[in-house]
Amino acid sequence: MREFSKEKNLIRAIIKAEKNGEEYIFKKFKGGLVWYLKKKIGNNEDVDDIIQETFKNLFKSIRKGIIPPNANLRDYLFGILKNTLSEFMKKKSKDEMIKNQNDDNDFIDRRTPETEYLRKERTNFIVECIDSLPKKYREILVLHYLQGYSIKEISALTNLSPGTVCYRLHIGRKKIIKKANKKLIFADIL
Amino acid sequence: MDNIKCKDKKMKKLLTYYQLGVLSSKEKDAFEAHLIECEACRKEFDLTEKIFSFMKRNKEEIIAHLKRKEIEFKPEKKKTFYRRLAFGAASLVVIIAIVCSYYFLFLKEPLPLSEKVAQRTRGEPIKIFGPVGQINNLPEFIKWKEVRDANYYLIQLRNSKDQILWSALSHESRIKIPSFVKEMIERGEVYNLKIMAFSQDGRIISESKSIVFSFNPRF
Repeated sequence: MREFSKEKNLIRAIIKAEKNGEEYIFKKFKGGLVWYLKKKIGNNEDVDDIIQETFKNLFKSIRKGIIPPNANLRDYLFGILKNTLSEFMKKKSKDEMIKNQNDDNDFIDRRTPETEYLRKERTNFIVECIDSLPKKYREILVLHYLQGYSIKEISALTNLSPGTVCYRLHIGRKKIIKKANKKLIFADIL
Repeated sequence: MDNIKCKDKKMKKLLTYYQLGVLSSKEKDAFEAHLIECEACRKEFDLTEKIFSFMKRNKEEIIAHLKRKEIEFKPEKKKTFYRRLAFGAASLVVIIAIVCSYYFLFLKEPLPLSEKVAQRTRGEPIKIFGPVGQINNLPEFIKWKEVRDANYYLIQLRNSKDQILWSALSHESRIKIPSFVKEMIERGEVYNLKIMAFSQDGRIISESKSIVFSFNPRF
């Protein structure tokens, strides 16, 4: 397979109707698109449909010359994805309304001894992490994630600007994430 | 696969701000587009979401743990009121100091001439009828308004360097310009004229402002 180190080469390859280019783009971006769509709409069947349509539209617009060869492919792809998603949601919205009325009480409490154990370990880990943080980061992290204050409320409480509150949250989170990456406690899906 | 790292440092920083919901719509779109491309950022996104949603779900238990361990997490509210009061008082003192220093400086400064005259004479300044301003012909007399109770007048003529060219006394409210003075007055030069009125005791009753004239004859 021909290597596409630059996006310019990719777009030119598609214009010349080389199949490698299309395959490369599809492989490169498919994982991201699936991940993004699963965040937005949890439905698996619809995800595949939307992805197919976005790629179709993307290749079409490249061949037509709407996307210039020295453009940022990622941004164009994201724009097309957003458009197709919004069109899809318009069609779906009526059907979903009817569905949602039917399954209202669908909360399932999945508590087994294993999950309970994992949960306890995780809480202990997080308590340790919070304990190890410097005081100024700890305060704000606890206020936001445990006591449920918004950033504006925290900035009013502590007399800090919203920017510094966000920054301190960012640093505190970073430290916790570093530790979590080392311990692999959050690696499994609960 | 675990060793993949995101090379875009700018986007890496945006993750927290994206999840806090503080980004503008443009930045949000840019970050989402980046997420589609970058696997490392997607993994970190999943991890952070897992950790912090877990924290939110089990917040009561975690808070209970924290309390048992006696870990401080309550923010101390800073004493802003007293701080502001202190700041205000300090600024007030500074402002007062500046105003006072200005006031004293102003008092120490020598008074302008006109005020001095007012203090000495209490009367209105003498009004000079002529010569005033730019003149074509030198008049024979210098004339001014008569002052009541004035015994005699002192007339002074100075040049632009403030040297006295001519001074004379007069009992009337006018004086004839002598011929040697007329010869001294040069074309285009600026001259100052000043008149003081004296009473019988020899006190100054009133004083004219220093009047400027220059002699520019037309030919």
